Amino acid sequence: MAATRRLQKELADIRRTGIKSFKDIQVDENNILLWQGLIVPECVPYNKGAFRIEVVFPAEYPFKPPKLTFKTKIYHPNVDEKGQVCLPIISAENWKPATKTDQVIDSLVQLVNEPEPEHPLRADLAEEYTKDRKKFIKNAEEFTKKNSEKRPAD
Amino acid sequence: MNFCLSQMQTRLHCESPSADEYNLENLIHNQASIRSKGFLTEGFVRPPVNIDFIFKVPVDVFHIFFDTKVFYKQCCAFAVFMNCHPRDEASFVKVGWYNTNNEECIHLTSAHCDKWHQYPAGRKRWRLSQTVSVFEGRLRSPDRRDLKNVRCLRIRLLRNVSTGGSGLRNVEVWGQVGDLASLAEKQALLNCWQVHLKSQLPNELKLAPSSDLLQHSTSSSISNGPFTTKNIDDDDIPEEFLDPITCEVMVTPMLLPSGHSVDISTLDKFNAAEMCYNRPPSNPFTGIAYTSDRKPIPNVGLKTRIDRFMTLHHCSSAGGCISLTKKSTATSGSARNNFSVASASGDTEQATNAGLVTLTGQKRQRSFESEDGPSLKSLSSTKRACSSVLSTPANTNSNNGGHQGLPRLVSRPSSCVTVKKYLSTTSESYVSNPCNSNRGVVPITRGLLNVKPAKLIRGDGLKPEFTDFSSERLLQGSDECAKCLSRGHQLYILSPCEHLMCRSCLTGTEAGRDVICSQCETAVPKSQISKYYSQSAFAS
Repeated sequence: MAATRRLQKELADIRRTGIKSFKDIQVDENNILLWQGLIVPECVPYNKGAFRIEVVFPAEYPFKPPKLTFKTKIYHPNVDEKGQVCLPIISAENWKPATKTDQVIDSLVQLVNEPEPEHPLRADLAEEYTKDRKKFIKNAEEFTKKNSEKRPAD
Repeated sequence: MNFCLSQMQTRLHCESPSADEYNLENLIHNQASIRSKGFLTEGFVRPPVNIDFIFKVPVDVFHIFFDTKVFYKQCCAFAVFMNCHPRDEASFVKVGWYNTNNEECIHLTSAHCDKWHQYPAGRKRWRLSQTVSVFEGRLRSPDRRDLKNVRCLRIRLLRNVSTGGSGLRNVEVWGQVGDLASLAEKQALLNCWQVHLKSQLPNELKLAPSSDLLQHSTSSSISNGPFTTKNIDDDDIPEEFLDPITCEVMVTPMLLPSGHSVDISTLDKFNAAEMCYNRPPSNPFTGIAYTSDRKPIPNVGLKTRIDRFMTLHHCSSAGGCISLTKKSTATSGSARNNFSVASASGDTEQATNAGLVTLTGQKRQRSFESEDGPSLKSLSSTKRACSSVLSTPANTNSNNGGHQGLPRLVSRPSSCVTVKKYLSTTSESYVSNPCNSNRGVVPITRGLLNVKPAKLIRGDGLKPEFTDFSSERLLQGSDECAKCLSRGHQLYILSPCEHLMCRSCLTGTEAGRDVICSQCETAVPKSQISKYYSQSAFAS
């Protein structure tokens, strides 16, 4: 399977160099197509918690993009209640096989830090974000405190 | 027993001067500490360096151990020869040729040794440290006899990692006294060995049983593959040989306009995925669509280097044996096994497949020279390889954009001459002409030590594939020069008209001028003349 060799290499590279905002990477030994890890955002209102995400690679990877889902609930205009996230870089038609997983994670962290209310998955949060930023931040901080996981020690 | 000891009355010989304190005699010294110091030539000595071990009695050799690193000099390629006749320089037989990956310890085992698991008792494992890498190799010779009753063993150091002298240390040759030795000699040596064993530290012997077990497990894994000397780790493959997208070793690297090199299969898959969105084939890195002058081209240089690397690492002790049975990508598999001279001249995968493919001008005659395939298995696989190419002659040339330029690269008849310098102990050669639908096979009998550029004989009439056929020339028995009507081994064939001329008639032509065929008076450039081998010559 073509995906295996590439994923092994990517995983080894990530484990060697490390990504600042992506910690605690867990990969099933028997299924390298399924990764889990913790997103550790740097910006308010998410900088108090960590968010578990799941990366599912198709067997055709790298010719088909991986899928990202949040396993931890997050108060974010671009993430819906099921944890689905809309990331342009891994949309099927924009996908480039040369894109590495660390680039995908980087762009996800960037989206978490800077929400894009123009392309929301949750319109109510997008509206709150644009109209009443203070309220949004307060709500998000409370939500993060309640739902998110503990940030791993550096 | 280990014969590389002075008690065993083994003598050493080396023509190269040794460096201070690294005498040749160190190799057989009684003290292990001095043996481990080893032998090193003077710094100005350039490889190859021959080191001869001359045994007192005939020896059946089972194992050879040595370390390649002396001082800070390291040897990374070496050959082993054996000689059953003392004082006869001509009767050395090569039994192994190895390229190491800078392993410091070498362990060679006789391929004919049916006592695989019998790791020499009384010998420690490699200093029991896991940090030292061990190169495992096999000694093989044309016949079993050569490993028995060896009188002289020669290790030839071929290449060093760095400049300076070359040397080796801790040499051990394990075996038993050959059956040609007299009983008295045998007994004397056994006594010597017993004395040596007693002088060893007792704890060294205690370690032996456990090391037997260790070796047993490793040797069983080695014996799985007949040719594998070692498996390459992924880390050992240079990064540039890997496809940047799939991270697999590339078979047919294509150079993209962006400067990346990607395997052709990756491009095909990517283009297929892009087709789903109705997009034209484009660069997977930049997304820019190809144009007529900016499109992927075969990266011939990289392919050559990949093939060379894979050849060296896959079958460094394979000798001439080739197996074409490698999953679906038999083409790539054999390309790695073959000494891919053909690939150097800009080939497709098919070119290396059965040795070489020659496209002579318009006729596109393809001749396949398979490497020595006396066994049925290799023979049939060659046939399969031939038929697979024959059945898709059109596909291979118009496979996709990347291949279209290739026939031009190999189509010059002169290049077929160079390609034919291909190393081969040919036993079979297939000549066919798919475009004229004249298909035929000329089996050429074996016994050719050098390459025989196959004479491309055109089949006449419609013949089914792979049946014996007789060429018109054979039927008429006209293996003679068109000018002087002489027969013999000095005949050359003029490619366009396929008439024969002898060497003396050809050399009469002025340099730089085209040769005029005496039979049909066609002007033939000298590049289109190749040596002709008649059928009768092969039959004899």
